[in-house]
Amino acid sequence: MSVEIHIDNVVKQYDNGNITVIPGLSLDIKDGELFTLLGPSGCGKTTLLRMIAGFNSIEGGEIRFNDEVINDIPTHKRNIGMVFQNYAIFPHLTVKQNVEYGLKFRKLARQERAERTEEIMNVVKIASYGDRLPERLSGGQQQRVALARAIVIHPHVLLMDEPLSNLDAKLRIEIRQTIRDIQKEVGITTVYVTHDQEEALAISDRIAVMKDGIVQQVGAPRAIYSRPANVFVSTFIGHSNLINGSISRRGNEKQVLLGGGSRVVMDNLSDDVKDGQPIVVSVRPEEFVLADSGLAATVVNSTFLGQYVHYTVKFNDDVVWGSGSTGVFVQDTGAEDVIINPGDRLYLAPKAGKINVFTVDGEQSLIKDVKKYG
Amino acid sequence: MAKRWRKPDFWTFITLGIVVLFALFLVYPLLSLFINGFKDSSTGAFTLSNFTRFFEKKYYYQGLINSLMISCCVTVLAVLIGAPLAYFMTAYRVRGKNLIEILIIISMLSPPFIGAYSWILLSGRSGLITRLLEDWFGIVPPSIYGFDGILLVLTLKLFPFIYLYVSGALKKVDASLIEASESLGCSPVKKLFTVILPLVLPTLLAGSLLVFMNAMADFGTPMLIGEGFNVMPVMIYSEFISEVGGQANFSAAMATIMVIVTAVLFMGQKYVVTKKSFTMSSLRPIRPARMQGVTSIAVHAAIYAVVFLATLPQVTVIVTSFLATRGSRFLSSFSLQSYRTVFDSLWDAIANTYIMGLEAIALILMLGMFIAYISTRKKNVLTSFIDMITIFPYILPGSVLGITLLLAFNKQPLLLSGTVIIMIAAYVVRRLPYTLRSSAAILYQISPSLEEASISLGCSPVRTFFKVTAVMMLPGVLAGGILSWITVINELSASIILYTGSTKTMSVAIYAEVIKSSYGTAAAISSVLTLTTIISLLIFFKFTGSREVSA
Repeated sequence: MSVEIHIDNVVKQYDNGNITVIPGLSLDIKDGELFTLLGPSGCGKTTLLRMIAGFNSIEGGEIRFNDEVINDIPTHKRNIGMVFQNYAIFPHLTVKQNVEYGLKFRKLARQERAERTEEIMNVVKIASYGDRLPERLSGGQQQRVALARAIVIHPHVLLMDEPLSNLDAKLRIEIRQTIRDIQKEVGITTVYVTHDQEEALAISDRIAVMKDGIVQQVGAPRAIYSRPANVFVSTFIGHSNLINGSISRRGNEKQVLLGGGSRVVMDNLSDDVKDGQPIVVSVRPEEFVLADSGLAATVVNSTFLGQYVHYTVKFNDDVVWGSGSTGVFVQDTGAEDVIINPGDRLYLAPKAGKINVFTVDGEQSLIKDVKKYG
Repeated sequence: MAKRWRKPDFWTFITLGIVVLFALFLVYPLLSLFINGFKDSSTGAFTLSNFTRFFEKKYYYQGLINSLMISCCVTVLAVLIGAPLAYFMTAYRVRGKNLIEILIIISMLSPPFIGAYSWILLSGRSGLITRLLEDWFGIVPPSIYGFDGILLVLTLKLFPFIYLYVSGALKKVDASLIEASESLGCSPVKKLFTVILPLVLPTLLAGSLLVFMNAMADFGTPMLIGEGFNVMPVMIYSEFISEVGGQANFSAAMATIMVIVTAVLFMGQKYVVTKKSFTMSSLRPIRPARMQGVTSIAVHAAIYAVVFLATLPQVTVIVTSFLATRGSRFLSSFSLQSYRTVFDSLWDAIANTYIMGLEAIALILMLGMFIAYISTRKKNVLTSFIDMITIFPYILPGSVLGITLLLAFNKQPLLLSGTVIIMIAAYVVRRLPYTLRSSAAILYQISPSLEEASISLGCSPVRTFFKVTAVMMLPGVLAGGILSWITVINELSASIILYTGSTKTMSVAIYAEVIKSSYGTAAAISSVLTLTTIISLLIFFKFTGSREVSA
């Protein structure tokens, strides 16, 4: 069954309207996609998920599954599957009883119930310990049980609240892939909440980046990483060096001037930019190349990470936007052989096609066709 | 934006029901107690004379002083016995530790007045030890009656509270804290006073208050063994009983004074404990060390002596229950005569105790779970009102509660005096806190997401409570429930005021038999009661697989 989720100008307030957590948020989640709500803690992502689930009341606007408004439908009648951060496996039931639990509230023949339980337990690979009590399962196994339990009821939507945050790094990658595979196989519309940007990039069809209850940008992982809509997104997802700069415009020829007199010719800047306009330039560590001219920097330290070498550098005063004067760049050990030592002075040139440019307040991208959400 | 009206659900009705119950059986009776205290007994006019009479006559205010004095002494002694006992039992290997713990729990949970009664049998005027000393050595031992006797009996009865509290706290002290102090050059004795004692101090204070309150409220012990030594609960009871057909205004005033004293103490303790409290959790508990030589012998001797004295009353009662009697005297031959008398003439008391006890415990378990749930998960104005009300049972001595209920329900349209309902109401109000506290404690450990998971899977919230929450709460509910049950069947101080012929209980019967000097029958019923207590405990231990009773 295909389900789209429409979130239309919803408001979340606490304390009789004195505290507004979500001031009016709209999103459209497509059928069958894995849609991630990403943001720092306190940004309202879990609150929004719990509003979709029905655990939090909705103070304004509406949420629809297809055309049905669900605001006043109690949780247990919404037909959702939810996976919790702490798994929430019932400790007094066996693995199989846990998976079967939700089916008991649906009118199903005993035969079908058993079949569906068994099938899903095979899919998530927990069939061999169906009779165990959950306390004897590892974290990864518990997460599989939670996933099976949520999916077996054939919910309209699957809601996942930081499901991987209690697992160790290696398991996280394994289960991440499992979730992704099963979600695609079942084709269920999924809303996924996380604060881990790497996880979001790896798993999602689309991501909504949130801050203070407001959606900053919605897009595919690649688009969000390479063309962030504002400084917040560019620094929250991946690392970015923020450099002070200004626009130099002669007719349609646009250039970005950086501290120390270096300049970058850009062909993808918005037509609204004005000559002399102050800007913030965002350069990712891998978007710097060693050059004969560019931003002067002194290497402070280097960290060898195998595939990459990671350098911390110090720029001249007033080069870096905001406070501080340090920056980061990485060198691909497979591509370069130049050995750089702490104390070396060098020049770093940004790659014109890759870097991003923002208004000086950091709120709006000046790259053509990149818009803040809303 | 306008506030949305939440549709009333199952919990709204439960909350309202509980508020009504509390208002009816606690708030309204307490108010009528206070009002009665300010009324003139003949005219019914408002007056302060009941209170001035109390503070003017030495006979009365001496009772309050006596109560405070005895409670202070008992508390100090209980701490001096219970705290070192807990320390040695935790920090060192003690032979027979499991048995000792069970004996301590049993002596704590035995009927409160059995201690007094046994000590009368042992060293009263014609007691076993008294006669032994007189006949063989010609020594007249000090009298067991009065201050000394109350002190002895209550200390032996109440030190287990300190023991259980402190050893619970000691189990949470991480061994690394002690190792840290040793590595910093702290000597063993200094370690005890600079590290361990401060860590368990909040718990020790909480336990001390419990002991103090219990000593202050105890009615049976001073009534049986106090003789001339008057304390508040006894005075309240005798004033109340002697005012035949009167309004009992003076004893209402005395009860009010007592409630105020205990309330002040309770608030003071809460204030101190919240200021001083911290949480501990131990990854690596203290490992018991081995004792050597003389120390080992001395410590073992002391521990066994304390436990022997604490269990002596139970043993005495059970042994004497099998002795043949003539009048109030025990003969040296064995017989089942006392039991025959009990089953012939006092069968009602036994049946009443079980039936009313079961009814009360069923209500207590249900209310305990519901109140714990609404006050942790459904916080609102009404549940905080309920929270506030539930502290009253802590500060209401049993005899005061008895009088309170009787004054409130002795006339139409609320005529309940003499009924089973009023007895059960008293039991529920008095003994609910144990179950409530342990239920709330376990609920805090159950993640709300388990309930949410169930609801998200299509189970309605009410069904979820019974299918998931209640099932997982059960171990915690039972840990307090066992205490509620045992203290319900042993309840004396409220029962003695509320009972009539048809609602007489075992503890009331024991009291009546002791007063009549029918020591044999008293011993036999006491044995039945003690046995019930022990069997209940054993079933509980077996069922839960633990020895954790949450006192």
